[in-house]
Amino acid sequence: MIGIVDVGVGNVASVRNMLYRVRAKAELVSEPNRIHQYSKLILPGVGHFDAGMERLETSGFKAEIIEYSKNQDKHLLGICLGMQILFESSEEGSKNGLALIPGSLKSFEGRVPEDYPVPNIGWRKVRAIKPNPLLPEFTEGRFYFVHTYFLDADNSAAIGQTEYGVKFTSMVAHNNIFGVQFHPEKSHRYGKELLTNFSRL
Amino acid sequence: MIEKRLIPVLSLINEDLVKTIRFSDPKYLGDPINAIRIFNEKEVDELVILDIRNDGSLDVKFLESLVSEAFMPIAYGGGLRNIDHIRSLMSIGIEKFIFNTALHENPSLISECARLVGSSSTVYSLDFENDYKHLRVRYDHASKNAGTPLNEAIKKAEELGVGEIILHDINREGTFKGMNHKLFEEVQTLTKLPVIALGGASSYEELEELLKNSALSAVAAGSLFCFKNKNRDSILINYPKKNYG
Repeated sequence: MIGIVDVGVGNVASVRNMLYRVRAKAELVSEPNRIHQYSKLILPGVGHFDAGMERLETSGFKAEIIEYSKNQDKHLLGICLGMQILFESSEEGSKNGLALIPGSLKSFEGRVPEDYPVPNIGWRKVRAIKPNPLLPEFTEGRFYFVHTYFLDADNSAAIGQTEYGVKFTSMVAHNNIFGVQFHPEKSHRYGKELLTNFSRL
Repeated sequence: MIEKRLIPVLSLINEDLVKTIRFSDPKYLGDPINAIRIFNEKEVDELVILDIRNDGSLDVKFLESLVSEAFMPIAYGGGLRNIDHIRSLMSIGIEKFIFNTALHENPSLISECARLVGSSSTVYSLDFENDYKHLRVRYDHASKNAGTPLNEAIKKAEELGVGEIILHDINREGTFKGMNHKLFEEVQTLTKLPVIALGGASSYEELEELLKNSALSAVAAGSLFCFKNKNRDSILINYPKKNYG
């Protein structure tokens, strides 16, 4: 059973819809201490880095998720902002992230050529740069992105890469922790494949 | 090259799918759920859903039944009332919110939305009318004249935290007459934000040409993706096959 962290905002319904569609068992979880009953946990998220962390702190999820991630039998997947907050910090805010993986997020602003609009919104190619349990069958997929901040291409946890005026890391894996910058729940068949694979880990 | 988006726009009145011409004369097309299923199968880049009564009374449960059939990004607009309304739409799986009237009558809702969902999911639909050489910004389903120049409306949207602009050509909407390429390209130069051109699309070839030769981020269309041809008499939900390379 997959738990989807629900702190009242974010794309939880879309994630649940897609998991239902691929016949994975999933439910929303809004009580932090209940996350440990799930073998897998998805951390979705949209919006501001600090606001996202603030919600995890005040709701009590922060400490529970950190605890959860230490159990190597469990699997954690962060989506979009949910991926970003797995890291230590972001130029978007001043709060610390969950710091489960080393690294920090940078803004596209001033780092991409003039003709690249910021935020990066749209369908982009994701190239697997390491063998990858979430998308073992493909070397290149097409996913939907909406973001202004990105993780450096040379991050130690990088397993997938995308180019938007600059090369950046779009998929990460660090032991039992996974993250994707794009939205698999809004990415048609590639998204279905990725979430199916996560549900079967 | 950046891959650009092609976005079908679905207009609703009550729970019916309709299509207007120049923002009036709605023609009934059918049940939106069928259209959404077909667009889902065709793996469209993104979908825009507009409640063109614009009063925010469309049933959230009904919208949920539409959204649960769609595995692509969905932007919704038409009478977003307040932040709780936006929250309830978020909770059913809508992730982008489109504002129009609010820019003029309730701007703080736009900045509140941007803080809640992020700028990248906060969209401003700039509806304009082309009266010979004068461009007029209109709102509330084109019923009111904003009295604001286009560039100022864009600036205001940027300041409120909007992350994307739909540029909607009222004169050509639903006409199949072809889009005003020059104007859309000019407006894109006024802002760093992604601009989506909408209004008057005549063919797939035209959309492709406009995307190829401009800095626009996306092109949207209603009639082109809903009718078999420009006679507007037979309905055919359609979308070009894309080469994913």
